[in-house]
Amino acid sequence: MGQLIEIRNLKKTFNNEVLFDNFNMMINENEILVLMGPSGIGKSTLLNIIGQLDDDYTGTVMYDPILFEGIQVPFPFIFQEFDSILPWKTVEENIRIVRDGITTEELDQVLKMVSLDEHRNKYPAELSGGMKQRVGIGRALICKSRILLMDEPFGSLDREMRRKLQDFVVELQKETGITIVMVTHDHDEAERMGTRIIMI
Amino acid sequence: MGKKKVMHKLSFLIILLFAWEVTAYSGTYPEALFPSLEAILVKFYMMVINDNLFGKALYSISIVIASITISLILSVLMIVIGNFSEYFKDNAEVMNSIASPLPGIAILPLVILWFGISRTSMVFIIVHATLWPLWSQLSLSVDRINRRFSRFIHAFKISQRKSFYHVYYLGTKPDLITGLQISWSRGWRALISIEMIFGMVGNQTGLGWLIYERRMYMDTAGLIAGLIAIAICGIFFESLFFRSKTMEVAHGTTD
Repeated sequence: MGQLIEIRNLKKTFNNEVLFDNFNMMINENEILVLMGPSGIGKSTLLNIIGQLDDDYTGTVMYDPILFEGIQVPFPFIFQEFDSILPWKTVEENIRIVRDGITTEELDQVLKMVSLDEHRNKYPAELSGGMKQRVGIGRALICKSRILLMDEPFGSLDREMRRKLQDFVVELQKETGITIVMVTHDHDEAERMGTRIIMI
Repeated sequence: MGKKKVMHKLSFLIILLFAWEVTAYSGTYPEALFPSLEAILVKFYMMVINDNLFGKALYSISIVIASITISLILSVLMIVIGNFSEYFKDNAEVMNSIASPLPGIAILPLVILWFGISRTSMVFIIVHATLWPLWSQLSLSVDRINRRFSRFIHAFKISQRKSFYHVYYLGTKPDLITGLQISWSRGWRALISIEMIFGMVGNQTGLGWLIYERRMYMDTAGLIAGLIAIAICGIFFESLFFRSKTMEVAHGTTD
């Protein structure tokens, strides 16, 4: 299994509080890596650092150049709040907005993968929470990157919907071989989905 | 608007007009103070034909529209600069707190000293009346969009051009329409007040002066006809240009 990202000696402080001190980890290809820990420990901050949204740290984060080759969005996020879906755009428009030059075939393929092909012209207000989160997943998949970053993606869903989407993401990962880094504080979720778990 | 609502409003209007007519014909007040509906309508018609009522209305409307356009451009500029400079944004808030409670008419003496009785003065006062509510509404809306979508914009590297239109413009559209609606009513009221004080500016007068002039001639029917014209302009503009807000809300796509 190849290594995609390696973090060495990470030190990160936030509001004078040390979140990470000499923290090391690596992310491999084709795995679901779960970052687990209680709220406020810095899981989302670590995800932001991995996804290049936060560069205010010391230490080294090394990326395999393959992550950036021919890819507009190397680190697509799936957020905790599915309200990051644009309410004034349809499902199709929400997916199209994240990348230039999306072909109809690519879009159809992604919409089928997330089982939203029949709802492509609906607005988020017309979708259930689970469907909205699948729009978020579709939006990340259309980027065709090698890695997906998920920040407590199912936190605001009910138990049944959570289960369904957890299985859906695991299946999706097996099908596509994409690497997933997921943040959660839920033990069950971590065990159900993760091929590797890091406790923070 | 549902049929029931239309019926409610229509029936209220009919009752109001009926009550007016009964009072007018009862002789409780002299006709010069309380003219009949017929007299008002005849006067309205005469003012359209002889006094260029539409021309005066268009003149008044054009000033408000020009002023609101200036306010809109200034608001957008202030928000854009505020996004880059926290210092500017904080001080724009201070200016808003100071200027917003000041009615346009209150700064009129100062504006007359600065610019004289001119069209510039009218525009200045209406810009003052419309800028702050518009900026305030838009600024809050942009802040909300920033909180909700900035991580998405950065994570997916959405270009500035794309995010300006697809995220900020479309996201703030309902608030933009609300802001314009508030600005329109504030601007329209300010303009009528200013026109009553200014009278003729250049070679033109507006609706405000028209009603003031009618009072001087003790022409109550003409004065009421002028008031009706002012109300019609306000209602017409609100329903013509700002109807899309209702559509957006009905669409369930704003929040």
